[in-house]
Amino acid sequence: MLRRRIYLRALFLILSGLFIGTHVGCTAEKPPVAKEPTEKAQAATSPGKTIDVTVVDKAGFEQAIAAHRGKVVLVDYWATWCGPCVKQFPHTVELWNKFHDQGLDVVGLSFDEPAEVAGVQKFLAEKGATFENLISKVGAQESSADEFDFDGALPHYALFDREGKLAKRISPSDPTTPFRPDMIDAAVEELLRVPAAK
Amino acid sequence: MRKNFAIALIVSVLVAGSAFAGKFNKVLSIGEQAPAWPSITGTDGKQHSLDDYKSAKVIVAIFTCNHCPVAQQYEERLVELQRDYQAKGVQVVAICVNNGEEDNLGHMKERATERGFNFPYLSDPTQVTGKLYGAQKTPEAFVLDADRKIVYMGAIDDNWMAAAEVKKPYVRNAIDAALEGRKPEAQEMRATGCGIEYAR
Repeated sequence: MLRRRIYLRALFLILSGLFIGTHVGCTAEKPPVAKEPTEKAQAATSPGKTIDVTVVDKAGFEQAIAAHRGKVVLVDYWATWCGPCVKQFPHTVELWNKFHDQGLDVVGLSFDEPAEVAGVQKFLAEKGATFENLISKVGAQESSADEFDFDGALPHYALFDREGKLAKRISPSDPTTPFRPDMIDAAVEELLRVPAAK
Repeated sequence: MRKNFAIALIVSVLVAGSAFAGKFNKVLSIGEQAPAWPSITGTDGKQHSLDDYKSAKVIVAIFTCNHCPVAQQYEERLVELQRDYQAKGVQVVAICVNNGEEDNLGHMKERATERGFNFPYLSDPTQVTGKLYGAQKTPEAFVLDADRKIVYMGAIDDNWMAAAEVKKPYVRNAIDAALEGRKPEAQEMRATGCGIEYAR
């Protein structure tokens, strides 16, 4: 009898553990990208504050952008280990708060290692980055610039118009064009002025 | 009037920058004369310009900084590079054009000591040198031959995460080629690292 009670208790713990393990970090929203070859990364941070981060490759990233058709999309290419990215990130959150109602969607694309997603989620929660967040499947490996079709210098900003077409890239490390954060604001506002095609 | 306009056009094209640009570099191309950087302060407290290294057969100018994890991964490799090629007349010169707190001259001095840098580590907070070379990332290397022509630019090698896993040591290959008076197989590779922020 005692043995049976221990067995039942163990079974209950295992099942409840599985339930928590699969549901921490989930939201009611459907993931914007295909399940294959991407996957959902979750970490056990404090419930209610966890921000979903989806691991993407090139195809997953393209699908994620396409899912925002009709909206202007600002992609912030960043990493927790990148000082200028971290410094600049609150500005991206500000843009999201300021222009979301006018049709701006923001997508964060982290170049941290997928295995280190917990640190990424912690950072995002602290900054209130409640927009869509992705993480590079290859981290910041040499192939990441080709995978995500940019110059590989973080931070980097890409703007897609309401048709889902790449409209502008802003790279703070472009030595030919000195960077100011309000360059991003101006580009966002310009694209928002173009109405969605009917 | 028309002549004045033509002159103005030519001048503006010259001022706007070189007509050259590499595959990844927006300012320089392979074979171009390396820009002479102005006198900038080293962690040794002295002023250094490109002309100060006239006796070097090959110069490896590397844009790097303190804070970037990718740059940090290469610190030991740069020390080894200088040590291995010292006798062959190769000079490594590290230049920091980053403006962050961690990358100021005081912290650079600490870093150079801690990491045992055996090459000059120069600070250019005006960022002029970075703009002249079109450097976008840390680290980003430029190999200059005896005539101070650029024979290679970009990544130091093909694996920033693990030195033991490197299969293509681009900079070493370019140095060997320059010392032998031939062109390296790879002349420009995309640098991997942290973006240099150019502030207005």
